[in-house]
Amino acid sequence: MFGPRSFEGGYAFWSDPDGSTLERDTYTCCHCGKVCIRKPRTASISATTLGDVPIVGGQPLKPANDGDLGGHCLKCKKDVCGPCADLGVCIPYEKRMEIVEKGREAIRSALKAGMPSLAGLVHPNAFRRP
Amino acid sequence: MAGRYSTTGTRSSSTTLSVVGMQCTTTTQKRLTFYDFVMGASNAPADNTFLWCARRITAAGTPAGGSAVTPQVLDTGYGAALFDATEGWSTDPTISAEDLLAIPLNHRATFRWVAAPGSEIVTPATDNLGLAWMTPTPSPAAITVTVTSLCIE
Repeated sequence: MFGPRSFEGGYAFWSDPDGSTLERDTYTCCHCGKVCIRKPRTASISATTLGDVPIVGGQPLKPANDGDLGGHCLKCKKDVCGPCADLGVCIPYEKRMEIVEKGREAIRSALKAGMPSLAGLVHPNAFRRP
Repeated sequence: MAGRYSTTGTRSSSTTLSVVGMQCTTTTQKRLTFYDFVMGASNAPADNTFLWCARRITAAGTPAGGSAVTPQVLDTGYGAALFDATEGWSTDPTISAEDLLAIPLNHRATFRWVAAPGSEIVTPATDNLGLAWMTPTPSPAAITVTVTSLCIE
């Protein structure tokens, strides 16, 4: 009954002083850990642009565009954000964290072996030898 | 099972400095799993707007100033938190420019994000890495902003 895209990663609530509340589902990119807001009845959008989410107080909104659309990783069975979908490779967030936790040499080895990024988990200086 | 902690940070909004940062310490390294954020402003109501951004602390850097915040344990069966929390740094540690969660918010409004199990924001168990809350967008007025972060350590 529930397909893989029905997986919800969280909920966002905006509370306005006039008593109204706006709610949106979110998902957390399984490759980089970024939280994205799900646009109702469409594909996902990035939280950095917010798409059609009304902002309390009338702040102008940026329209959603194709670059904001995320994707779905068939290996992880979870949603990914737009930039990670563009990479086109499956590198689970857990694997990236394990590499970072192993230290500088593991990071250097992973990047040398072709890992495209560590999702910004560490500063680039961490790749350099001391 | 790990302990759950609440950390609240407050500062007058700054376009360059973080509100609060939570980091692994060099002696006790455990992952921080953030599952709930509540943020807003505590000044008299007005129509100021600003952006809230959750960003990674990616290196130790050379932080200065600030006040230590004691994370409050939510289940008293657990001990004190092992991670460090600081609000109001005058010089931040190294913080990524990429947003993990970015929410434009009016001064009058309150925002809350709750993660479903398995979709939390997790930071690695590595020296000095962690999460910081920023308000990088200029606002018409300085606002006293407050954010509460709940995490599992």
